[in-house]
Amino acid sequence: MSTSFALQVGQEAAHTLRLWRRDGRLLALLVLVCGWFAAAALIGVDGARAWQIEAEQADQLDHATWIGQGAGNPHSVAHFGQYAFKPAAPLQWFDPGVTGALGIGVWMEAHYQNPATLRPIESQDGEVLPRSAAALLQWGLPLLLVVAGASLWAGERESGRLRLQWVQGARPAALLLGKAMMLLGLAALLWLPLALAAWIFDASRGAWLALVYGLYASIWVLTTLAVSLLSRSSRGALAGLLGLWLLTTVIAPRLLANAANQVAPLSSPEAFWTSVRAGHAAGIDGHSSADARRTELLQTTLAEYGVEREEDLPVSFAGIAMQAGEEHANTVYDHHYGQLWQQLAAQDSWRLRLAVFSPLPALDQLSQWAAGSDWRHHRHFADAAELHRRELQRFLNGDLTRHGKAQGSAYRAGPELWAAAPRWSYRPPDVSEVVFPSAALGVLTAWLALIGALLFVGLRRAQQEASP
Amino acid sequence: MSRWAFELRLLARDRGARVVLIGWIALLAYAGYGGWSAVQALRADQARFVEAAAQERAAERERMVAVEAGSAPADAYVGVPSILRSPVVMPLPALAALDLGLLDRANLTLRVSLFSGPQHSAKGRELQSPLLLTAGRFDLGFVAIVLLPLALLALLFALPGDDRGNGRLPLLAAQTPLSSFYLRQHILRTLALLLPLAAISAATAIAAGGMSALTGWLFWLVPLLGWALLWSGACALLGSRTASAATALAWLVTLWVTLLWLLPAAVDTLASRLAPTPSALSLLGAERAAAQEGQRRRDELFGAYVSDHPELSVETAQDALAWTRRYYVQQRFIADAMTAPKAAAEARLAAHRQLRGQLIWLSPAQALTAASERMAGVDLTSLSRFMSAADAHKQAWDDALFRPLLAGRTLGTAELDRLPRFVAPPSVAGVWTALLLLTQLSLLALLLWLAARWRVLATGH
Repeated sequence: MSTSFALQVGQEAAHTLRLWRRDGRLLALLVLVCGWFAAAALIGVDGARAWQIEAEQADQLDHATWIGQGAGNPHSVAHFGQYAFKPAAPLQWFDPGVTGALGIGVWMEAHYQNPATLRPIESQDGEVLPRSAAALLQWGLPLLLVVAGASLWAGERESGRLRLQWVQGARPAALLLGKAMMLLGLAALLWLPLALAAWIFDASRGAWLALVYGLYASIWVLTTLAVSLLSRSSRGALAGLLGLWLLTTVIAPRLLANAANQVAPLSSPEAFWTSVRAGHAAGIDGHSSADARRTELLQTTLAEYGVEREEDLPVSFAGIAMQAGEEHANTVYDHHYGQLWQQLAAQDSWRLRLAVFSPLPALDQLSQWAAGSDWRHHRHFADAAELHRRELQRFLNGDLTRHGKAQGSAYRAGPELWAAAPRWSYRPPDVSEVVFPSAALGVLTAWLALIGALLFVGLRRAQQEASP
Repeated sequence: MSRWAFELRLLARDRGARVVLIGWIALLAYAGYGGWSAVQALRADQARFVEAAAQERAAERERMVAVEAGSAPADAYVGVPSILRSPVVMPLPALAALDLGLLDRANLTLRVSLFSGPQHSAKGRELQSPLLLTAGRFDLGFVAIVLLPLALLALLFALPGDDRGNGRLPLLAAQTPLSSFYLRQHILRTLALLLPLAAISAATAIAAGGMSALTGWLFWLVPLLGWALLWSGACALLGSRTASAATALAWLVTLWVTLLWLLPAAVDTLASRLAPTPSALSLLGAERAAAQEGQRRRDELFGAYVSDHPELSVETAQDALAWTRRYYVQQRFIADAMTAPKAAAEARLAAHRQLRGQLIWLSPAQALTAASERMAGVDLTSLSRFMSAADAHKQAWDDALFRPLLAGRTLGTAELDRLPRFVAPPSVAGVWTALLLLTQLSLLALLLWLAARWRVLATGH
């Protein structure tokens, strides 16, 4: 970069700063957006901390309840089950994602793989618009850039300053770079605190968040400059950019989510459980003595132990049948929950296909993934809870099989068995352990490239204006 | 040609206004279709549920008839009270097609039985799309409350600003009083947005609920008229007091952000801080502790119950339902143990809702959302009334069945036919809320209009 070019860039940046300092509406909006971003982040940190403390307390209470059961039949205790509580996502304070809609506690009981219950959304009144710190960045940052930058080029063309600049030998690229630097600096007012705070909470996730929001901010900086370059008047630039902002940040996210749900709907809960019940009915249930499959299992067990009657078995057949019922149910749940996760992936995929209308769905996916608050992180938790449930059932049915023979259904195990049962513990995954939404990053990059090309067209036009 | 007709022609020639109106109508049409199709899908789900419950009941009745007629051997499991279930269905309000409100997260179909109340039978229903629950429905309520102000801004922000910018303002002021000229412009442009909203929402309401839905639709629309007037007033005030159309637009968007985003967030934060909602986790902990206690003391509880009700003491070694009877007594113990914690949680929730209900009058967007959901019958109050009715039905169901169960008796067809059926609570219309909101918003709009500086504009000072 030659000295004169660098000088022009610096002068333009200083000029832009002077313009902004005089603009009351920009200052008002800046204070509103930055103030509310800080408030939303603080409220988010407080909420996530309260969630974490409550989940830990609930976990300890449930363990104490489990240990203090007294004597009981292992299968009754299996029905009582345990609860798995989801810890707060690593950067949930910034982007709560879909955590509120997915539930925070899984009841791990015999025979049933329950979805997470206690959804925070159930006790909340409807929000007019989303208001987390992430949502603030997603709509507030572009709005700030639009208001600050709409007239940066078009307004100066109107006022005649640009013509004066061309006469003095200014280079359009230098002016554009100076303005772009200032817009990026403005974006950094929101981006830098995010990057720092996220880095303090979780360095690797924070780095990803900084990267994707940096990309998003760049898209809006380039869009603002491109529209300002290509517009005939500052009024037209502002109206066009605000229209674009409205379409891409207010209308599109909700519209595209609804459209994705229409194209790839989830099975209704009623249909889901009807299918699960049908799957259960097709196999052994462990309880019913009239079940033909139970008879078949008995024959196999008798053959295995080399005896002819159930009474001659050295173990409790009830325990073996219970475990067989669990094994069958597991295949049913694997199938149906597998389909459910596929349906959720299909909704994400459709939303990305529609991202030609807005970069926000792509950013949303990446942001939730980096914050650990998307459905894939929830699935990690739900799968861990299900693995634990299966292990617990195996443990209890194993005890019933080994010790329940003599007393039958009157068999009671003691607290030492509950203490020896597997204890639920969960560590949220590192960011690298959950599938990376690479398609979303591709969409965001494509938007950046597209807007970059548009800006290049605008710059060429400006260069033609500048040439004598 | 009258002034109105002339100004209507001016509006029709405005290319920007045409684009806004076409976009507006397209969004309204999509939202109307989305609301209608969502209601149809929910109704289809409910119909499947009712049909399955009816088949289940018919099959059980058939088995009872066979046992009564002697064509099938007596069976301890036919007509046993604990396996009978009663379907509970929330009637879908027709106006839900206008505003789906909280329907997506609600449990609209429940099965009540001796062992499970409405809350318990909702287990496993948490499988709705998280994407949809988080993003919210794109329905007419959203379009009218969130997007109508923006569409109005797009049509009105440049009204005095552009005329001042291109030098037409003195000419206009010389020909006609500016306040009446701009008032006509505002009325025309506001009507251009409101009429499609009224037409499409009426068509949606009729398609979902027939002509009888029109009265409710009218009261759904009434506060939105006040909302449109308020934004028209804001446009007039800021348009007349700013130097250019672009400046007016920037201030109007800032106002929109404040009213639609910041104020609702502030109100909810304040309500949550001053009157926190009860913790679902601690309620669950209490329920688990009560369940554990009930399970541990099951035999003791049953013994005490039977000694209190000697007429029900029929247990014998052959009693096939011994476990079921004990379990039922255990469930009653849990329900009793949970009465106090539940009451405390409900009191906390009621305090939170009451405070929020008062605070939202300071936030027009939230007051409108609440009024829209109330008129559509999909607000928290309507859903709570449904759950209360379901709880009452559960009580009636228990009262009808616990004696036969504890007496170890099965039901006959006559008793089956006499079992209580769920009756949905009548909907509560929020007509007064709608009218009050219209008055509040219209008065605010009038103040804004009066504060506009038309006279100063006309004299050029």
